[in-house]
Amino acid sequence: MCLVLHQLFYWWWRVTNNLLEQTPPDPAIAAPPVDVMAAITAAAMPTASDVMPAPPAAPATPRWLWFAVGALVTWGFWAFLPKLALKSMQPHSVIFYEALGNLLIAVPVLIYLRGRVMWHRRSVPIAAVLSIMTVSAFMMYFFALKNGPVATIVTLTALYPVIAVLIARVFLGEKLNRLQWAAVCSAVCAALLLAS
Amino acid sequence: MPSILALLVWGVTGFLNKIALRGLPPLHLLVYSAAFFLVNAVLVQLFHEGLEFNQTAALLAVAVGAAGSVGQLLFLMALRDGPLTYVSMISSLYPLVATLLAFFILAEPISLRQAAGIVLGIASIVLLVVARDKQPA
Repeated sequence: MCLVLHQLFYWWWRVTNNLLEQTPPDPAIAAPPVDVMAAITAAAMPTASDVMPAPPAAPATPRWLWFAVGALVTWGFWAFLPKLALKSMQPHSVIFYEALGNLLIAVPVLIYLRGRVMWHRRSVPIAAVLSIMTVSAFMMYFFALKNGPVATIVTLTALYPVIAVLIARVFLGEKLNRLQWAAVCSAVCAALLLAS
Repeated sequence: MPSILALLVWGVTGFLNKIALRGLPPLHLLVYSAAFFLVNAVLVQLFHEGLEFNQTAALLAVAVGAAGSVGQLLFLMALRDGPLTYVSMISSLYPLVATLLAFFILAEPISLRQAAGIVLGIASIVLLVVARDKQPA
């Protein structure tokens, strides 16, 4: 428990410091996309920096890869930890403390923005509606998680981008390419398998 | 059934997020989301018997909220330098992490049908992410 909190605090500290240190990348000098498999392989290889002075060279693992893997791991914990919390509390209580946890990140972000949060007459009301729906979805997710297996429920709910794509198709007129249709079909099959 | 409802509602929120991001930068939206989330979480308490407190569970729930926001921030930071496809693909595999955690920590068994569903589900997420870069004009 303490280890998780310590790790979260460390991530928070790293994130906020990185945000403060970073400047927006110049598109003109932006690095080209890096092959992920090559980057992962390079990260797994032992380095010789411990035994001899390293020659000046480009870092083997791009920084964005660490951030992406960090997002993967933290979201994994985000999906799994409620199962443990729900053993001792009801979903409505877990939602409240989760909201406090959100503030642990939102407040430093607000400080980083120097308290100047933009106002947009359309987006802010949408954000308000969004949060109502998100809280409702979390309540349902927590009810499901309290009684069901983590793997099934997390995978099933992680398919929500398919719904978003279909809604965008209907309301925004966005066209789906073959890969997206394949994803939709695959998701429907997955949902049927997981829900049965 | 609740998980399918959550899937549908989250699908709509994914769409609305896209609309909201047209007018607000991600960090600003994160602040608004956290504030509104807290207001709604307080309102939810009115419909229930009262707020429970269990130290371990409360800390875990706080960690859930922090982990969700940290994940979002890390995702945004990865997107600043990295290619959208790879960043989204890597981070969208989080159900795999949750499944492994459940398997090792809670010793949850996984049936063959569930495993097939999980593999298909993750494949569809990856397909969607890959397809995003090949959106027709």
